[in-house]
Amino acid sequence: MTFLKTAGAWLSAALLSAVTTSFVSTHQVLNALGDVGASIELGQRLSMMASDLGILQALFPVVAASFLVGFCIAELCTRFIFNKRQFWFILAGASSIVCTLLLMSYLMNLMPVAGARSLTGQIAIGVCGALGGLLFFRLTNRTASSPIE
Amino acid sequence: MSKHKSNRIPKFILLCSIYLASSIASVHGDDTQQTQSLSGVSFDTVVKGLKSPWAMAFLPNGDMLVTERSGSLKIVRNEKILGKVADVPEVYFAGQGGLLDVMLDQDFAKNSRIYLSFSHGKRSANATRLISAKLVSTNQGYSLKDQKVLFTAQPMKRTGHHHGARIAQLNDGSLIMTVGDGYNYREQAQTLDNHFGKIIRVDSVGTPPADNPFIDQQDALPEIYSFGHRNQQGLAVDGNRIYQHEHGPKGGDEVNIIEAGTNYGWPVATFGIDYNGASISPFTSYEGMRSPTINWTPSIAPSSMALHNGFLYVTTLAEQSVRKLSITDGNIIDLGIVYKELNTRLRDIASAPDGHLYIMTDGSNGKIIKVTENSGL
Repeated sequence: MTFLKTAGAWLSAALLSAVTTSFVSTHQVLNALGDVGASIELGQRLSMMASDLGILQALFPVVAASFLVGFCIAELCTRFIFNKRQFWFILAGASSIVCTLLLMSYLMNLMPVAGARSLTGQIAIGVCGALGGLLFFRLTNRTASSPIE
Repeated sequence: MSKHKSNRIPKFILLCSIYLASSIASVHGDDTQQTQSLSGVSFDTVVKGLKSPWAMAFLPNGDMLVTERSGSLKIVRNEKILGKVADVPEVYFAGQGGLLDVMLDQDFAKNSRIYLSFSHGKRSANATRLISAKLVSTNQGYSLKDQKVLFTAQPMKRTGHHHGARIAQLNDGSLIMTVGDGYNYREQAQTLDNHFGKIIRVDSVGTPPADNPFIDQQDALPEIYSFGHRNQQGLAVDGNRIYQHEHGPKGGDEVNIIEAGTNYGWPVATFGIDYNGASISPFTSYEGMRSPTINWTPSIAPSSMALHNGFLYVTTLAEQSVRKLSITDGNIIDLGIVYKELNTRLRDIASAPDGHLYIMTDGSNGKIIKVTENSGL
């Protein structure tokens, strides 16, 4: 039961971060077009946000895989470094998604998610990852074993 | 558990056998020197064993110069690879980059000069460069002397993709070259303070001609001839008219008629979407931006263009075909696929002095194939 709960929390966290990353990427792309003079209306922005959710089929597995590694490390950090589970999981969510994108960028010699090409985009996507980490923490919070939280 | 395994083994052997049989068949197919199509067109392999070739040029004495992306400029003589041209400058060979285009000067018979384009620099800072050099005969073949750097794109980029690098020469002797958007820098194709996503024009010593469209504009680089491009790998000149094609991302491959100072829209206006499925832009057209003359969606990945007997011929990577385009009254019409028999990615096409089209195949065992049309196309 605990395993199923943890797996569900992991997938929920990955879905939240993938969806918010998609939104962030869309806005980064549109803002970049706006910076070079394109005039974008709210309706076009919302429409593109919706259509860009199609990238979830590629983005969700990547985020889920990065969270799998990141959350395992966060759990180890909680046990062996200091017992601030919320901190470690938020950090893990933010860093794992950004590190994965940077690693993919290094290996492919290009950035596969257009919204992550700028530092602003990377920070915003890091926040999306942090949200996923926070959700995972909330869904798996074991208050008895984490008195600090 | 063991039963499950024993059921899978024969399937595995069967799959291996099918794979081996298909591999043997494809190797056998590779050795075929001539292919005759149903339409009466024959394809004769002139040379094979080229490693990731990119472009070819024909010397007046019948030799061919062939670029390989790793940095070799190969000499093909009498259907054999004679060797390498000596003193070719060092190139940045990674991703889609390396030694790319080669072209003879229109006065080559008098000045022996050739032009080369390549990616220059290193992983963290590279750019498309254009040089000229004198091709000098030596005992071993040829070497490059009197090398001059005519142009290096600014600023340097940190990606190994979208170099552009196709060269052509206009009637006045000036040179135009495509410079790609560098992949990560696509929005910069819309601004004139950089060379990403541009066609540039310089004279034979690298100076921007006085009639370049932005020569007097303070915030613009003087070499820019047109802008709003993505990764343009096809360029052909017919009189004073310039034809170009460029790769879209997923969809949105384009053919354009290039005019000085014109904005061709990328990435604000495009029919393509990103490789991961995300939108590039909400617009397929935009005021003040020239729409493509031809839009290929889904992508065919056009890789080169040649003017031959009044038609444009375009090789493709993804579609593995040659398309023929007609030029009528200043417009271009896609007449469709004319050659599809080679069943491989096609990298370059050229109209040779002998009156034939030559096609270069892509990849680690690249070939050059002479096309003979036995009946009019």
